[in-house]
Amino acid sequence: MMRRETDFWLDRTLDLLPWLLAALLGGVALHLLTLLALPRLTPSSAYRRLALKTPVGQVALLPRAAPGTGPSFSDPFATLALCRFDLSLGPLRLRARADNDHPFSVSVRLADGTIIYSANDRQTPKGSFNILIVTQAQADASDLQRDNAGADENAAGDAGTVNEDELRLISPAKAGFALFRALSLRESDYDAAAAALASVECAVEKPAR
Amino acid sequence: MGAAASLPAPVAPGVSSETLARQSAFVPPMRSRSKSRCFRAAQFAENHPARAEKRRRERALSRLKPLPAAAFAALALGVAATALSLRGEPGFGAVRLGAWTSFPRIGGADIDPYGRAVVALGGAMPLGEGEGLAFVADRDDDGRALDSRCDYLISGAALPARLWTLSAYDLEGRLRPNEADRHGLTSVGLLRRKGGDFAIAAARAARPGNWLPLGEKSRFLLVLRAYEAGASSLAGAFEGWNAPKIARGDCS
Repeated sequence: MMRRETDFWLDRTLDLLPWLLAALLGGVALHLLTLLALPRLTPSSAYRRLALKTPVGQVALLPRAAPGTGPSFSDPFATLALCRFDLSLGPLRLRARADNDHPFSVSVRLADGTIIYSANDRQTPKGSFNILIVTQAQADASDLQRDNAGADENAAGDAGTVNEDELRLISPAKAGFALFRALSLRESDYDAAAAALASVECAVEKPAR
Repeated sequence: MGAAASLPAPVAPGVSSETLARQSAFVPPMRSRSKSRCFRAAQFAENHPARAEKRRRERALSRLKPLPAAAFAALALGVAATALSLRGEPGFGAVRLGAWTSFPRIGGADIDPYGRAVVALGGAMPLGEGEGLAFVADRDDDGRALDSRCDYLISGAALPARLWTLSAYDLEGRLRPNEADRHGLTSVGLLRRKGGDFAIAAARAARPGNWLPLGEKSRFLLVLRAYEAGASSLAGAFEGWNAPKIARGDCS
């Protein structure tokens, strides 16, 4: 009798084993799926909360970090401005020039928060930025056009740069935003830092035809 | 079931008397259970093909009985794993210097999915690796949680950065209202000793010298941001760093 009972439970367990494995595998798959989807979908992300509120190709000054305002974990000494891009509308051109009083940096972030580029004013010539954000397809198209136009004129066209100070940034995703950061050395210096960000330009370029 | 047993049992060669006795007494045989079940099923199928088909279908469906439970278990498991994995630190590659922790990899394109999800959920915009490095401390050098009812002395030497700032946040990353309406200090505005060493008093009430005002909420975090820091995301690059010490003083 005992023997039959253990046989019965062994049978039951063996019957359920594939289901247990399937549940485990499904759990792992779901974990990875939610993990990868979450940064793009969560309404709390910086892109959804801040960038999506501003139109593409316009610079928006963010509120200063103070109790009750500003994005979480932002530096009270940093003045931030952002510009959203959507490369399906065309490449985005960023121009900015640092004044000498406020350390200045630029970062380019995708909608899921990945930072694909970041640099400060000491890493660029004369503290000025000239960045063109493109997709791979747009980059290929403009390369092809340039090759056709200037094949005989300028045979030594090195890939990546069109003119001297332009940085062409190939973005793996179409949506994202650029963040400009000017640091003030004193908390009372916010207005001057905000003025430093006034020179930032951000515009959608018409796709090359 | 009883069809075979109710007939007078023919005495066939090879059938033991024990089996016959069992059949006549309606006792299911102990051995070769499956064989006899098989036999009966085959007989049933022969006699009632439609009902047998229905039964077969029902049995196939009953094999799927654990499906809802398994699907639910998978759902619960996946969601729980995601929720749990995002409660802690933002991803991998932590660099720890004394009481301070930094996650240099969240500032670059090689951020891992866990780090990305934690950053997105918190709504933060961390420093890019070309901008600087942020170090967070939620404990003092002795491992006790930072509490604004206590005074702290933060002391150190010059850091390899163009500029650094130190600010206090609550655990959700918000600045807290405080007595002086100031929320941080920069390396530029700091009073220093000879050689560049500095000491900062973090307390609710005003202190002479370098004072970092703390808010009323008791638990807090310190964030040290080193802009244009002379270190890359490689852990070995932090060897020259002398992170400030955090010593707890009196508590009220």
